[in-house]
Amino acid sequence: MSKLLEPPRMRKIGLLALAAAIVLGCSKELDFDMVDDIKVKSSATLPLAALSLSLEDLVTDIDDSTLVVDPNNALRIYYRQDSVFTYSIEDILSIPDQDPLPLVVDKSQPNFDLNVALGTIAGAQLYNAVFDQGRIAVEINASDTVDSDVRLAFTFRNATLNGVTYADTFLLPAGQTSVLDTSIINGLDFDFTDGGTAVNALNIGLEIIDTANIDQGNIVLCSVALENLGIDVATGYFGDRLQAAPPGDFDFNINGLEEFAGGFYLTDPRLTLVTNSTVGLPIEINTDFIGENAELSRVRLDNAPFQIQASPAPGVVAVSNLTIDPTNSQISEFLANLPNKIYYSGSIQINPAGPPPPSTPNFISKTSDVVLDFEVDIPMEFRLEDMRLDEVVEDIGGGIDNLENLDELTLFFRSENRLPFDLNLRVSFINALGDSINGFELPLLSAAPVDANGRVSSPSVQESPVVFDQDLIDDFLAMQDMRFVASVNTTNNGQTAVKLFTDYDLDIQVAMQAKGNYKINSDQ
Amino acid sequence: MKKISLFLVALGLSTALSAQSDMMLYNFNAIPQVHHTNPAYPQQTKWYIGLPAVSGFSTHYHNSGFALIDIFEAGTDINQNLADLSASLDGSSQLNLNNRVELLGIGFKAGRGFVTLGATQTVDFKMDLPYQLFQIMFSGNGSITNLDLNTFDLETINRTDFYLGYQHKFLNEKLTLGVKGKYVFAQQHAYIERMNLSLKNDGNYNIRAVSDILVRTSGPSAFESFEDQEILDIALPNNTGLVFDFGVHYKINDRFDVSASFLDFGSITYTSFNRDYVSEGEFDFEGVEIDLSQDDFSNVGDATLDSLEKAFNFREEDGNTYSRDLMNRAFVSFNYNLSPKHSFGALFHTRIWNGEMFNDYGINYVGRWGRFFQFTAGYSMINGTMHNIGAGFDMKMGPLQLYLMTDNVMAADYASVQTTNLRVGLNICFYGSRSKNAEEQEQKVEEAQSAEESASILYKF
Repeated sequence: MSKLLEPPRMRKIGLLALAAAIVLGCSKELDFDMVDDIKVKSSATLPLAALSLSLEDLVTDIDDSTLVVDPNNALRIYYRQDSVFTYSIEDILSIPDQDPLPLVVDKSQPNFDLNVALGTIAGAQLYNAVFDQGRIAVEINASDTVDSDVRLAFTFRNATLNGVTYADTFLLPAGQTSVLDTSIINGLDFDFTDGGTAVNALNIGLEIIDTANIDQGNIVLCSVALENLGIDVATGYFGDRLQAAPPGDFDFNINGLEEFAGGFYLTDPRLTLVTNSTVGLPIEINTDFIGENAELSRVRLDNAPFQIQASPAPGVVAVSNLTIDPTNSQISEFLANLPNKIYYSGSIQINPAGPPPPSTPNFISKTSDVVLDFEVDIPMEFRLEDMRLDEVVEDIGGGIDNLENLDELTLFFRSENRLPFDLNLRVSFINALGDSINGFELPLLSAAPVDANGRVSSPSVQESPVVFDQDLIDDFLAMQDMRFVASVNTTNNGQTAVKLFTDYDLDIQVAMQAKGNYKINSDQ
Repeated sequence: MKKISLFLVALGLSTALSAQSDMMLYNFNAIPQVHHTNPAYPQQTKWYIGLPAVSGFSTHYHNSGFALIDIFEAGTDINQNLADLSASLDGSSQLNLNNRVELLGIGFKAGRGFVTLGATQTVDFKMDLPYQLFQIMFSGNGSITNLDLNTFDLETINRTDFYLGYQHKFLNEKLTLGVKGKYVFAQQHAYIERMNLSLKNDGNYNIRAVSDILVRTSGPSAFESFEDQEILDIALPNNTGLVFDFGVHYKINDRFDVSASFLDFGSITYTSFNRDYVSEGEFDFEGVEIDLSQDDFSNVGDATLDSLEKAFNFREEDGNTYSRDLMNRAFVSFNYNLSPKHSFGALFHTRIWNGEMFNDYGINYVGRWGRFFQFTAGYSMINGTMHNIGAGFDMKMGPLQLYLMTDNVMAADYASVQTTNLRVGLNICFYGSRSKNAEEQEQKVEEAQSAEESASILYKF
């Protein structure tokens, strides 16, 4: 027997084996399947965003801003839309093509004089006119052919060309009975007054020059018409014409307020319609402005017609400014609607008071026009009463993952507000059926207090937590669209008028505290 | 598959990687490798040759923070287990892994001295358990944004030691002094020189992040252009250092002896394939900054990331030479020799890493039952982990010596193991002829005490 197997050593080995057996017998069982149940329970408080808004930057950084700065650093709304309406000479005074005038001559009566009135529109009575374009259309018809050429002299006895009474010669060729001819009369200067006794007067003469070449009894009928007349300058009474202007629209965005609707009450609401006229006659303008806001709600400006001054002399621009304010319009309601598009239409009535005194006749030239500009230039002094923003952000529900691992989510909003208005936000979760299934309220901004002049005196700090409990998280995950309804009021719930200055600013901090319960093995 | 993987990981952690506490090896001079714990410990062998690659393989695992049973005990709530665990971890919780292979070992007696020489390959990894992360993830009241990793340390090294040791007996063989010089080549090394990283909320709307990080590495960057490198430059890079082990053993009388050793005294200078990972900065994050006056917010996220990157100044720096002390170890032992065949000892072991001591305490029994079979057993408290019952033996079959030992036989119950190691090897050794004096003393002890009394003492122990 080896020494190792001797009884004492066998006993020692047996004791050790027994100890090992006890140790192993005490071992507890492991269950590695439990790894599937491991959850990470932790939280994190994360700053998400630091948003800032400086009115000074807002004004200076935005191109074509409607907000401008006064010398005293107050904000103003300045907006100008030029040439909303434009009326040219064709809209005020135009001479239609004249009906042909019959002039009859023959061998025995070779001269024919005719006094007629120029045809006009809307009762226009011309004293003088220079045509920068036009033509005389002549049709000659003889009752028989002529053996030799016959010349006929046509004369406007009350018109001159280059200082000489206008006359022109037309030819009836030998062997023919008729001929058509025209003569350009650009620059023809008419005196329609017949020596101060008439208006629109035309004195026309026709004479056979070659009487020897026409047989007795051969009657020549000349038909004369003035066509395509374009006025260079004219005086007189241009009638009481009513001329509509083509309707149109233009955008009207006040920066920062584009998406809001309603509730915007300016302390001094007004706008100016500026007309520049080089037309020497009084005109009444009727305008119709309709403002449409982001919610497509329309409000009519409903301003009264107004008169624009006549230009005192040719080439002189007469400027007429019409201020539209609450006394002559519904401008308060018009601007309170926060229009972002303005539709317009209008018309002009010339000589609304009838003919002018003879000493101050109407005048016009081919370069004359009447232009109406739309201008808003008002201080940003206002109150906001439930100014609203209503936006639906669609299809954002599907892209949100992992929120099911949250036990609770809290969003923190802290604002340090040097703007004089509150902003309350209502957020609604919209499901696929379009129903609001849940949501929360967020008083995001508290209006900064203002002094007696409406200027902010100190910032207002507000901190608002929004707690997403499990129900809210579940509904958030079931959401398809999210609707934001913001309501903005100036200090004292919109009852205090405030002013905006460039040194106003706003800081908003947004943070999130998430308490997670994340199951590591998400396949289970 | 997952279960199998977890099991293999657990098995690997519990047995394949065992800790370098060496509590069983220290007093067990039946095997020549005891000189790794104390170069002055008297050798039993007259000469030995460690067979290349098989003469010694040791592996060590130590996790002072938790055992698998603390997490995966069947029938319990794993999340509660993790919550309890996160409450129990602290700055002293540590994970150590170590592997050492004897590439070659030779020792022989020379007069009153004994010479050892050889080479070892060691892979060592130690890190603080990031208890803050456990607390954040599992305590139930932790916050990711209240993180402070200022106490986190990590170091790993893969090194080859070429050693030459000598011990000599003085004072009529009562006193033995030993010294071992080791020339070390470090193939890979990485450690955290500075890890000041914190992420803290200052109120709800601010996170203050501070980083002062320097992670130094040597060696890994060589693999980026591995094909361009000479294999010898990687195997024996110019990351070298001369390191010493010192030891003393004093035999007070036939009954008592004391011994002590101080190991790995020296440093390595790293010059090859060095790369530092650096971050220095502070950043106050208050969210993505959005100026509502602007129309375009598309680049605010990128701008924030750019700011973050600039603030922390993350960068890699190549070529910075550095020196690093090896982790020092020390043993102190007091032994009572009941007889030449049976002795009992008390052992203190400490490791000093980054100025902090990690201590082990143990008692052990060594039974020199015969030349062909010697046995040791003991109990240790290793870096705060209790109930480490160790055992080991050597079996000599002619010139062939097989040895196997562990600091914790409980590792068989891998579920509850926090510390264990395994040392196994095969030597060719020769004890020489038995001395007359030893035979006489053995005879006297056998007469004084019966074998049954010895067994009784062992049983009580």
